[in-house]
Amino acid sequence: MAEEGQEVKLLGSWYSPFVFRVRWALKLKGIQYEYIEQDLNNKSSLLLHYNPINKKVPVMIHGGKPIAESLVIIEYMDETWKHNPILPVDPYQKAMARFWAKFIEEKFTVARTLILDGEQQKKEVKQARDVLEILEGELKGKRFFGGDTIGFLDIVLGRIPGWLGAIEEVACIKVFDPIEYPRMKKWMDSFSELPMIKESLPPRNNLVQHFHKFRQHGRDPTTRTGFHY
Amino acid sequence: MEEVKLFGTCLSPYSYRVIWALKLKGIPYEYIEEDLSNKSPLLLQYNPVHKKIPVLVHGGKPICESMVILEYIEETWPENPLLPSDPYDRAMARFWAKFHEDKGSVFGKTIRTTGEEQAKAIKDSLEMLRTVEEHALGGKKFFNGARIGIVDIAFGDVAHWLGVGEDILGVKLLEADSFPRLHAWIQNFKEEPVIRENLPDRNKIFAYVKRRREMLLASS
Repeated sequence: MAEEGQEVKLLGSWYSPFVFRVRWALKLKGIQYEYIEQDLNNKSSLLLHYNPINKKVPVMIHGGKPIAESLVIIEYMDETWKHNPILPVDPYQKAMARFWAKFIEEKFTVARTLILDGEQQKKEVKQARDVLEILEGELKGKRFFGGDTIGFLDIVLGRIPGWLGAIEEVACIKVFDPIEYPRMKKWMDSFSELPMIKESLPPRNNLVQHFHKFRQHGRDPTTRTGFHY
Repeated sequence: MEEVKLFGTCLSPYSYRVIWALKLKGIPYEYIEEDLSNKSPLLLQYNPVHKKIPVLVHGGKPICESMVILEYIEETWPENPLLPSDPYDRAMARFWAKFHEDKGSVFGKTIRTTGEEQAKAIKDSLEMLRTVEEHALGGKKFFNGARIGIVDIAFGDVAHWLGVGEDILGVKLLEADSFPRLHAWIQNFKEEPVIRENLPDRNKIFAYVKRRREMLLASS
């Protein structure tokens, strides 16, 4: 069993919103860790050793033991470092948070618009807008999905403030209309202005450049497999 | 104790996940069979986002998505635990549960498709099973160790529904020689009294899936 005090490492990549979920969770709990950048187009033996099943990031290594999948890692963190819980404490609220996280994971797949065209791309855009509309309803009067401070769902949705704009620019689509989703716009602003978020988000230009490369490789069938978003 | 209701359908593996969890913990509940071609107003009220089963309603409050329901059941009724107590082991269980969530839909795809698409779905299914065979079980009797847990429940479709798909397709995916651990797990899983006594009739699953496949292929 890994103890609270044992060393924490995080395998990640600078452009992955899933890695950022874990980084934000680590920050919220004030946990020290060593970050090791991975090149997903030239996977290290370290990554292949610690995540042989999916070969993806993030991977947290605690006391030498690896955990993969961002939301599994966050649940592990809440159970190992019990202060500043990220998931709600009440079992019903926790179930709601897990439900919405699953919903977002399954339906907010808007990054696919980078490598889709025509009708398929339109379908993804519509699906993303449907998700935003539902979330708009869920926010109600709250500043964050977690209440007055950010919680699990805010972290899950963190890719919207940081990444969506860059995706829209490169894929030439419009998903987020601040007039249609005023609560989500307010949430985005509140979230992005938090110091721990602001200082961590990858620069938009870097993301745009990265997505251009991804789009190029992703739409060319000969190079599609292997190039990672 | 506040009352527990379960909205499900009699042939769905997702429905059965919740039934198994409730029965393993000895939780009394009222079961309501849904007709998915004519969804009840209650179902639409309790699951407006997906309009699907299963839905667990506890003291009037609905919870949707079978694995979310299982975690809720585990936290609310901790007796006869379905997850290990150690956080790292729990993380491993959740990892495999997610693996099934991400990859498990490929089995249904083998039934819904033909030709090249079907061949790919069959290939993906075998790959998924191979990964589970090599990495998930180890030498254990169940995914959870000596006793059934959440991951065993999640893989219940492999234990009982996959065989039906194989019969319909005339393709054997889970050969005992190639998948000895999974094969042994299926035997152990189905011998557990709660599971053995709560499995839908195989012939009924066969008839239903076959009919759906024919309807789907006829309309495409």
